[in-house]
Amino acid sequence: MSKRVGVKWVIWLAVVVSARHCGAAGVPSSPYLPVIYRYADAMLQHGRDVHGPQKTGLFLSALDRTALGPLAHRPPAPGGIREGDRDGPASGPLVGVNPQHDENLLRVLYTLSELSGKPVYREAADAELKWFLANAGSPTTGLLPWGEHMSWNVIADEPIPDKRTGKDAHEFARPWVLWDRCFELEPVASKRFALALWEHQIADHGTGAFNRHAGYWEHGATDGMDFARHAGFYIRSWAIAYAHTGDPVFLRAIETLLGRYEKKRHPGTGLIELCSGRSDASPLLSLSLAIDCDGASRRVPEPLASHLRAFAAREDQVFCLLPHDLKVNRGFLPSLDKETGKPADSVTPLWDARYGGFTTAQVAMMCVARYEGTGKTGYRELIVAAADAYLDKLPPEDPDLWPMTLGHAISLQLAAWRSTARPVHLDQARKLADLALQVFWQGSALPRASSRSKTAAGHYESITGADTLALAFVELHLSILHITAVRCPANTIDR
Amino acid sequence: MISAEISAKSISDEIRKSETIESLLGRFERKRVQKDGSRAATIGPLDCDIAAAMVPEPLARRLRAFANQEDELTFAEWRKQPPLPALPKWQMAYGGQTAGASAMFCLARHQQVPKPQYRDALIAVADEYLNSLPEEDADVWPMTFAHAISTEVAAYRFTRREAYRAQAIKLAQMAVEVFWQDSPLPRASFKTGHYETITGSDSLALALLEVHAMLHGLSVEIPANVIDR
Repeated sequence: MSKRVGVKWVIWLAVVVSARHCGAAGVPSSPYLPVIYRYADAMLQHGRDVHGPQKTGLFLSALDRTALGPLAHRPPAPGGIREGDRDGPASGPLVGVNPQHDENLLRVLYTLSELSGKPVYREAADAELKWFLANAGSPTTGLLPWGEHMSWNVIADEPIPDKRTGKDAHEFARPWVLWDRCFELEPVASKRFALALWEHQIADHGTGAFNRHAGYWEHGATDGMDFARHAGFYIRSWAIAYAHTGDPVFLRAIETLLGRYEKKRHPGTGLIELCSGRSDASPLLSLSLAIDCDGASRRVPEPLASHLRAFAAREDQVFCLLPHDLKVNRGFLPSLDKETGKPADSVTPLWDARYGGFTTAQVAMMCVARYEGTGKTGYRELIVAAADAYLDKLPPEDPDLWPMTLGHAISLQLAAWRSTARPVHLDQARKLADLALQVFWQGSALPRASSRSKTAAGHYESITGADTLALAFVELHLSILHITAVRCPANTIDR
Repeated sequence: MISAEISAKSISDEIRKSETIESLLGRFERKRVQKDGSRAATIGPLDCDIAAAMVPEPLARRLRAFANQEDELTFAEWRKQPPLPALPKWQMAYGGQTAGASAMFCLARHQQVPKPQYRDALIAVADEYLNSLPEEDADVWPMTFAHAISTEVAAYRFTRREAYRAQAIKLAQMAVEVFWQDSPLPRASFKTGHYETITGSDSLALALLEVHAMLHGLSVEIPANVIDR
């Protein structure tokens, strides 16, 4: 090729590239936000509870994407999802509402109101919080029918129990980061829930012993599966409850649980057992606890605030010094021997999401949560290495891909781009988002639950993280257009 | 605005300059009057006071009077509405204002005319920053840390309360860790990794100098951190 031809080729390529990335007035193009407005509008128009005796206005957590209404059947579960965790009765259509599965959708709605100036999105999110807090709490315990195992039946207007056991089981699915708004909207009900967490989730107020499962209808707090991530979710809830109420019981609750996990930390390795009696440790769950401790520290007085921050800082040291294998095997270490620190023979997968598991990008987003506010360079190195592991790679066809997984991969690329200013990360975020549009939306207003949904059109089911993908799209849009006047909520709550 | 205009013109332009200042001043005197007949502060007192020292009478007197009126209207506003601490402490954005930035305005005005309202307002803001750290997930600018640190230093100088000194040191240490990390240049914000002065790393450097001077009892005068407005 002659030099002149080569120059022409470069100019042509530049024109094509700029046409792809720029709109008419030189503004970079972003097809992502319109998709999210359509999703939100469809949820507002067709995805709310107008069924059964009570028209609650709650957002259904599963929908028929063609009819844009409640599912009349029960589609097969997406890969990696346990049948009993889905939002609906044990058999029959998925007619449940689970605000914890829709938490990022609610955060997206608040952001859309800020972006558009239209209050309808915020009002819809507020309405869900208000109704659910005011009406769905157990009259006995005060706990809510949400999270991993429970939801609210919009047809029968009643809580749906754990489908596997037929019993009630309150368990958080995610940290609830909307407590501030909840306290503004429903202060009494919000405080009641925070107290219920102490009274009915924690079995022993002396040691802080608890089980992640607790009774909803009746007191059923036991000592058992006390995973660190759940402790973090409770600590966060109590810290915000304290900030709004000033009730010292919440400080006592935090001190009790924090003390429990400080005692659990192995003096040699610094690792924390997976749950009571286990010899293995999950640094991912401990990292999640650290994020919540640090978040809680901003809402409580000294000396507890410093105590919480010191716990988080210790976790930073432990986590960043682990021999994560991002360069070769592209994964974080999910499990180690507590005593010796010897890693188990596995690393987190890039794409294969499943109940109880973490993908590499999901863990990296936890690192983002710890990095950006602390500036600790150990996390920066892990974030960039994890983002590099996703560069030039698109998911293979075999795993049943979840929207959440691509959401984390996109947000991870954006975090690496913010940190390194390397355009390759922004480009990869766009590629992944384009793939997500193709795989999940396919022209519909609602994204499908997973890439291999068995029904012809696929169904919508928020348990696989359509809300997290939506949040990633908003974040990508703001990044492409360099919009800073509206802040995108951090995509770091899937942990 | 007005002081900049003065320094840009030569002495021989004095008459034209005076007319320009008078014209602008008249404009903002009129703008003070709201639709309902009430009056509100407009451009603030700082630049008018500086300008007053550079122009002849009677314009100088008029500028000082304007500045005093701005003070009174500002104090009246503070009595009606939540005072400065109600502003966000850490989240800054283009066109936005933090409590710390407002405290720096108070400091600047107090240096011009030692009205106790400005000192008290600054101390109230310093109290808000005691035991305060940025909100989770906020994209904090170096400038915001700078103003918080300089507010604590100023409050310490006013009161000699150890808590303000301790908080200034704590915030300064955190700012060095979070913004400088392992680089000689500070990053532009919590959520970025590059250096970009638009978010006020220069102001943060000034605030760190203030802390250094305070820690070591240096007599060298550090420029007041009051120009981010």
